[in-house]
Amino acid sequence: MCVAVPAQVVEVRDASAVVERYGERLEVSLLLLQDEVAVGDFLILQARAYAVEKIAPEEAAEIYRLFDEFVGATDDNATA
Amino acid sequence: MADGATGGVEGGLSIRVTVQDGRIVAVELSSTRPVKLCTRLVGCEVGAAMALLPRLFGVCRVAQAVAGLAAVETALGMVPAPPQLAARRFLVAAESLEQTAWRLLLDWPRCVGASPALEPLKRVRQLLSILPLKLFPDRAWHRIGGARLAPARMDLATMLDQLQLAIHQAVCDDATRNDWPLTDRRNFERWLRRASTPAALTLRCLCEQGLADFGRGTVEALPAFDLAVLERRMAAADGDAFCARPDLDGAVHETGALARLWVHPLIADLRADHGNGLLTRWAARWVELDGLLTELRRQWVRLEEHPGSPMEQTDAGVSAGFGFVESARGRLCHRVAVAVGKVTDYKILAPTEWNFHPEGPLARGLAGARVAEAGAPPVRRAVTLLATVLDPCVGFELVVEES
Repeated sequence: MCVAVPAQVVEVRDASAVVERYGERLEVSLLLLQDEVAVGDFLILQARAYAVEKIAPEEAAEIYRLFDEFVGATDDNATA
Repeated sequence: MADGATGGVEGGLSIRVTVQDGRIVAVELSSTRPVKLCTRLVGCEVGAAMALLPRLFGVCRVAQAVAGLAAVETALGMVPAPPQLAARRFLVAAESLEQTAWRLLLDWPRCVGASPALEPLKRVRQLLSILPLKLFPDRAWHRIGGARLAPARMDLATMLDQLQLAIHQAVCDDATRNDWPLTDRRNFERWLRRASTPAALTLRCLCEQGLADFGRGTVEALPAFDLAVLERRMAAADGDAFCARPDLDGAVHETGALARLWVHPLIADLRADHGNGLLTRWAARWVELDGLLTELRRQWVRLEEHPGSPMEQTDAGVSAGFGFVESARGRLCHRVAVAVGKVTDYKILAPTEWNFHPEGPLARGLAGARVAEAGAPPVRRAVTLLATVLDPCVGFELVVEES
């Protein structure tokens, strides 16, 4: 469904960053991003491997609110 | 999308193939995608629902927003002005171009072990990211009835030129300019021999590894369906099941670039020799890139200033509407029911449901395919290429088992 959940930067490396969302940590490439990135920023990812957009904390919080009720309820929301 | 990337809140696809005596004898597809996420919109005021849509579905947010607007505006009996529709089509084409460029510059080369072309993709994405603000002064352009439209036509024209140049250099290869556009087989084969872009390297690799025909199947292109029939199916009591595993009169179809270009001269020619195998499919994605540049210019001509037609009231009675968009991955359909200005039902039928259906083009293309004989393709690479060109909107995990 083309879902893109933001992830928060917990560590910045040379051309990548370690990000976290819902307890899951991923290392993502920053090579496609136009903006500078710092720890605490919120990023939109594609393919769980590339950061493609930096968004404001308020926007990230709003998106998290939308997803919160679905996380942990995958049995109800997934197809088999 | 990456092989092995199935976890996380986005969910993912699992592709499990069983090989016996050099043939794929079983294919199992399963999904953990949150297909009912759109129920989050139920209970929202329709304007708020349209604001939420692109946030919920951030990967193809423009296509989702435009399909949602079409559904809601139909439900409310609104007809947007032609310049508003042109601006939306312009943005949908831009998003499709970005997604297709991603496949050609990043995913394709990775499938065959070549280096992705990150810098050209970054340049294309940079140009595309500016386009919405050159159309709509307000970032929230996805308003029911249309937002204020003030196209910076000359800036847009310059950017389209830059975009075309960037795409042609990165995907087509400037040294082969005389072979474009690739409308016939002779030009295509000449380009394929000479070009050095990641797209050309991938296609040559397909041919050299005997993969051109891999994934041939009998699934037909999704036809120009009767919208009333589809809306009825989505609205029915079993509408959720239909949206998860769609069919038309019992038949599963494929949607996307190949379906749209079914009768294109080059694609029809390739189909005659390779069916809907990998070479034809990859060529269709390639050819569509040029078509999207043309679509951007076609809609640019129709862009005009327009004040927008903000919705004056949202307390209309009970009604329903259907909207669809041809997105990068295929036909995306939305169906909404509205009562007293609020969403009472929302369903989305995404292209991935057709293409990764257990009876769809991936499953049918893999079933019975030869994979392990001398000269036959390594199974993991072949399946990854087929799944990648069919382009699910989430990552997929591939498991290969020997029976």
